[in-house]
Amino acid sequence: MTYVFKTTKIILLISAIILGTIAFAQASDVGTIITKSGDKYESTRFFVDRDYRIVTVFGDDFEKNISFTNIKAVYNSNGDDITAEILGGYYRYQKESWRSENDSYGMEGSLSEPKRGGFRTKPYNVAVRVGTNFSIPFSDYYEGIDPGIGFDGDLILAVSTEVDIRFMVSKSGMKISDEYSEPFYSIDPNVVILNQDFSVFAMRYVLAIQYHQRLTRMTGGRSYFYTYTGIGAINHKFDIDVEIWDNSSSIQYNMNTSSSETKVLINLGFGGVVLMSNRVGLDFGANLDMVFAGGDYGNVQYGYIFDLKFGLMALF
Amino acid sequence: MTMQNSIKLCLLLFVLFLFSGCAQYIITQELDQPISHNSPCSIGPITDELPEDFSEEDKPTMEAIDDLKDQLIQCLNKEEIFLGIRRELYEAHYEVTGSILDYKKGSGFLRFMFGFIGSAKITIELRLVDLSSNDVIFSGNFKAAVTSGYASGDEMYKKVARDFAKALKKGLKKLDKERNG
Repeated sequence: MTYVFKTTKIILLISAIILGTIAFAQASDVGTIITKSGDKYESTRFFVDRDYRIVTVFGDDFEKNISFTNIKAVYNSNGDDITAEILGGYYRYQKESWRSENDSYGMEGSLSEPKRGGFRTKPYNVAVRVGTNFSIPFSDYYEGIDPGIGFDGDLILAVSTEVDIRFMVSKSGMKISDEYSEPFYSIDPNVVILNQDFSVFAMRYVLAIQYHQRLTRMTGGRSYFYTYTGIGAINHKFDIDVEIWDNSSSIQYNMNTSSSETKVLINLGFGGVVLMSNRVGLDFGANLDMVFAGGDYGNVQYGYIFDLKFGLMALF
Repeated sequence: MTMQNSIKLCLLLFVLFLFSGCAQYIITQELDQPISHNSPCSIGPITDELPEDFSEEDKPTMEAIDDLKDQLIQCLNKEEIFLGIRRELYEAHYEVTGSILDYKKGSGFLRFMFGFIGSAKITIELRLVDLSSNDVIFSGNFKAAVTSGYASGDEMYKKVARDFAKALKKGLKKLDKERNG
């Protein structure tokens, strides 16, 4: 314990020395400051506080805080104008012109010029997405089901600047694996199975809440990222087609049967949209569904489907 | 010895904690003339003093500035400094203006989900102008942040407005004290 406290004291002392040195170094800038209100502080020490956007001037018997907005010019001890260096992006004129939340966004040449009616805070009010997905089912529940390509469509309604409601419908292109694709075999030598086709596909219907964020710094507002989570249902449909030849009667039989089951699912997904124009963008995403497959004796079985999605997004 | 060191360490940490939560403003122009309490005050323009490279999309909206002005009116009214405060009051003797120096809208959703990510913040210079001489008689740079997922981003406007009103009131009290000896 004593060792811990001794070590702590040493660390605190070193930190204090370092901070004191930094503070002294920052306060030791010397130069001339001229304010917009007409004050001039010649050959004085000053300290720039970028947190509060203040320049503090230290005189013999005074200390004055000057806001960045009131700084007209700063010269260093050599007489060089270092105003831009000190103020950085604050070296400009002030104006009052703010955009409204209801202003619409224009992509062509409007990013550099602030003007009323030129910008929109949310990239859309309604968005429609159509695309394809590559679904990968896994878990014991989906044993014998292979991944496949399907199609999907989404309707996205903007609720606020960053939150949407998303309706998703998708047809997953899952398929029966080769191992299980021919489940029927004849035990009667007079009955021959000519052909059998065992297929499965799943339709998913999901209602999700989505958060999106425009990526202004990285892409200049031409893309945005989204993530969503929701609840829905998945309907598995199984189709079996069997062609049978009965040697004894020389008749061919075609049997077709189908069955379906619906399960509840919850999902989580994310993606991004890269806008190619004002209203159309390319969408890339990933999605994970957790299907409540049911179970017995209190043991719930889950199935999982992972999707890679690619599509086209239209913004309105 | 161990108990004494433990107490010293706790006191040091407490002092550091206090400093970290100190007033979120720096006064640039102290009040050096009294304010007539029967004078009405107006809320004037809040201008854009954000850096040149600040994205237009990330700037506050008119609606956000309106919220800030409403908060200024409420907080100044609460301190009972002026007879009445409204926006664009033509017979006002004083005017509160401001310049936004830094702004981040943040995201309530991210703050709620991940805590500190998505914090909202604002740094603003607020000034009290005597309209008879057009001089700035009181000013300071105020900053506020919202990091809690349970608080709306608009809370930061309330914080800066409250700090400005309290700092002005404090300046008035200090001036009264100096005048009365």
